[in-house]
Amino acid sequence: MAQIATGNKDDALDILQDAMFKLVEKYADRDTKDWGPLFTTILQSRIKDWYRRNQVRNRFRSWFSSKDEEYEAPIQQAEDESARTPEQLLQADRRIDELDEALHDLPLRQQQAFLLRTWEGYSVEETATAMKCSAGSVKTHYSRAVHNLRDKLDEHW
Amino acid sequence: MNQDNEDKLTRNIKQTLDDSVASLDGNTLSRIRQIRGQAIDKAIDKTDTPQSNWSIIMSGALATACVMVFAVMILLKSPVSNHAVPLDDLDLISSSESLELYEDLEFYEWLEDDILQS
Repeated sequence: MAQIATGNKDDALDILQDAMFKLVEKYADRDTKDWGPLFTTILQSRIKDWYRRNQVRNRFRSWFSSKDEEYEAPIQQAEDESARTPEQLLQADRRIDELDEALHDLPLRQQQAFLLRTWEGYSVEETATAMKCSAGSVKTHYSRAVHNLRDKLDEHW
Repeated sequence: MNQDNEDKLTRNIKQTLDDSVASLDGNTLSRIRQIRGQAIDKAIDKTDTPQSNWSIIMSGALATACVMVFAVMILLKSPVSNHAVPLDDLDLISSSESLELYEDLEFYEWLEDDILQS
């Protein structure tokens, strides 16, 4: 999730580290069932901080370099351990790239709402807690995200 | 977009995201495990430190309580007369009269009463 938001593996791992450390520093004594939602909340907060800090820098980057040169998803370099044919691998890579780009292009709040609801399987209320906003806002962000993704991704999805 | 369409889209996206995580490269997985390990160590340190402090505080408090109880017991058991000199005895010590007079004091008192009565 951090990688989709940042588009950079090292930054994503730094955010992950910050979030994990923050969790054990502040909430290690909390019940284990609270750790998941707490970690997600911290992670989302860290992603938001990173996004704010890098917004201007990313704008400059996009002006001076093409998107393909700027961003290469780590998944593109990953070895596929399953025995898939080169054609299947290529198709899977394209699919991941296509999705990655579509998600990365979403406004941060839409991206967060969509990933928490769809990928993490969080309820509207849990997502609202993690994003520190109202349930109504989550529904709006999620709905817009789905429509934006539908527009960006082709009919095969 | 109808509901079926939306469900299909989100299902496909979730599957693709899961696939992308499943095929993360070794370096990334190693770094994530390392971060997790560091976080666990940090949590253990955090859990240990307050316990150590707490035991030090408790030991100190127990030692202080023991010293106080011991001191109170000594004070309560100490005979008060050990060092204190009664005022009546002070007259005897400081008096220039013979000690024999005081030893026969009851006799002299009786003698005085007898004289007075007669």
